[in-house]
Amino acid sequence: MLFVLSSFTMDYIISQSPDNEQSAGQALLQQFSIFSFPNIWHNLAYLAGWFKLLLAVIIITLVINEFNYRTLQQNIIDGMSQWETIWAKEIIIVLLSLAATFVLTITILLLGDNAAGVPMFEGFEFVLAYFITLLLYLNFVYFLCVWIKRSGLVIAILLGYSIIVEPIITYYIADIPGNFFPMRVMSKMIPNPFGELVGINTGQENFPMYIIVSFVYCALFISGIHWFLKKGYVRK
Amino acid sequence: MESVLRTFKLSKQFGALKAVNDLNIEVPKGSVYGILGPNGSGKTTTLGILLDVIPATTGIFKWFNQDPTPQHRQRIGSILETPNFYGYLSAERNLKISADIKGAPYSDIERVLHLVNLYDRKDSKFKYFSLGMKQRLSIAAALLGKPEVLILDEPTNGLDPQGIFEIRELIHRAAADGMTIIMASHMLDEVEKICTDVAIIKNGTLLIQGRVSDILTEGNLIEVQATDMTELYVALRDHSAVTDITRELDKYVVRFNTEIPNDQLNRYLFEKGIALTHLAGRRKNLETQFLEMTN
Repeated sequence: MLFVLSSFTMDYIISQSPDNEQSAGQALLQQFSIFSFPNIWHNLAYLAGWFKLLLAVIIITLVINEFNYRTLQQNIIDGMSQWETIWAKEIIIVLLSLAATFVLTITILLLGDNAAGVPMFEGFEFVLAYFITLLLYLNFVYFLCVWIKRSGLVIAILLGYSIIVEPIITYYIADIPGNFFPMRVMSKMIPNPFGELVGINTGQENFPMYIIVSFVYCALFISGIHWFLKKGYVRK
Repeated sequence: MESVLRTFKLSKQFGALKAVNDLNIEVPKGSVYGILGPNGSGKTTTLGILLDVIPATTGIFKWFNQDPTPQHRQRIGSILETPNFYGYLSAERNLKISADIKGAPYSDIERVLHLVNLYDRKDSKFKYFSLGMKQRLSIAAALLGKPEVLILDEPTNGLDPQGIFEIRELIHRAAADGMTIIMASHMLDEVEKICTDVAIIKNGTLLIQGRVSDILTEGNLIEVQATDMTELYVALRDHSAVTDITRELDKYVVRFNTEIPNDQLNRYLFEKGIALTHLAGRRKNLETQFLEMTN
C-alpha cells in the first residue's frame, strides 16, 4: 500500500517539475514516466528496494525471538542439528523474498502503462535482480542477528552500515574492491533509475557477475552463521 | 555395567574461568544420576556440553558408547536451565513442535499433558503460564516419545511443595520404567531422596562419584537417648568402640570406630541398667559429606 502510494507521489513530483529546466532535460522528463513499460520494471524494482527494511524487521523478529525464548537452544537439545536450524530460517528467507518479488511483479503488471506497445516483459531481469538483492540483504540481516542477538542493535548496525559506513568506505577506495561490498553489489544490480534524469548511466552492468557475487555472499553469511552456532552462539 | 554416558577429560574454559575441569563421569544405564554442586560449580555448563549447545574446550563424551549426533539427542528428553518455549503459542502447539523435532507421534502429547496435570490448560498460551506450570510443561516436553534418558537441570526450581512431590513421583515412575535419569541439583536432600548415583562437583572439578548408598554410609553414627542422660554418657564412655560423643539437643550422637549393629549397642546398654527411649542409626547425610568435601 505504502509502496504504491509512494510510487504515485514520485511520479507526480517528476511530472510537476518546474519549467525552468534545460530543454533537453525537459524532453527527457516528458518521456520519463515511472509507470510506462519497459522502464516500470526498473523503476518499481528500485523503489521496492526501499521496503527491504520491512522484510528485514520480520527476519530480525523471527531470529531474535529464537534467542530470547531460548527456543533455538531447546530445538537443538531436542535433536535438531545446527544446519537444520539454519535451513529452517533460510526457507523463510527464500519464501519471503519470493512473496515480495511476486507482489512486485503483480504491482507492475497492474500499474504498468503500455501506451508505447513495447514487449511486456522486456526489463523483467530487474525483478530477478530484486529477488537476488533480497536474498543477499536478508542473509546479511540473519548473519547480524546471530552475531549480535539484540534486535535494536541489529537494526542500528544494519542502517549504520548500509547508509553510512559502506558508502564512506566505498567512496574512498577504488571500484575494485569497492564494487564488491554487499550494499554496492545490490545497487549495481538495481541502480537508481532516476539518475537518468541528470544524465548518469543507470543501466545494469555485469549482471551475471553480480548474481554470482551475491550468491557467494549468501554462502559466506550462512557459513558464518554456522560457525557462530558451533562456537556456542546458540545461547544469548 | 553398561553405561549411557561417559565423558573423558571434559573441560570448558570461559576466558580465564575454568568452568569444567577434566571431568570424567560415567552414568550407568537405569540409574538416577545426580550431579550435585553449589551454584556456579559447572553443572549447567556440563549439561550444555553434553547436549551440544556449548562447545567443549577439550575432551570428548560418548552417548550410548557412540560419538554424539543429533539423532542421539532425539532419544534424550532434556530440560536445561529455564523452560524454553514459544511464548505466543499454546502449550499443545509448543509440544507439537517438540514432537516434530523428536520424531514422536502427536498422540503422545495428550499422555504427557495428563502426566504433568496440564491437560486442562493445553490451549493456553505459554506466556500466561505460572513458573510452576512452565516447569511442568518442560517436563512434559522432555517425556515426549518416551526417551531412554531424561536430563533434568534443577527440576524442582520454582515449584511449590505439591509440585516438588509430583516431580519426585514422576522421576521415580520414569526410573521404574527403566529410564536413565541425569539430574543436576544444588539441593542435597533432593539428590538424597531421588538418586541412586551421585557425582559431586566443585568449581568444575569432580570431587567424588559413586552410588549414593556407598557415599552416604561412611562413618558409623548412632543417636541415643535415655531418661538419665548422665548415666547414659558414662556407659557410652566406657564402651571400647566409642570414639566420640556429642550432645545434640536431647540426644547423644555417638561415633564408633567400627560398625556396631543397633541391637548390640542396645543389649550392652541394657546390661548396664539403662533403658533407651530413642535409638537410631544415623547415616552420615549428604549435607555433612558435601560440606566437608566442598570446604
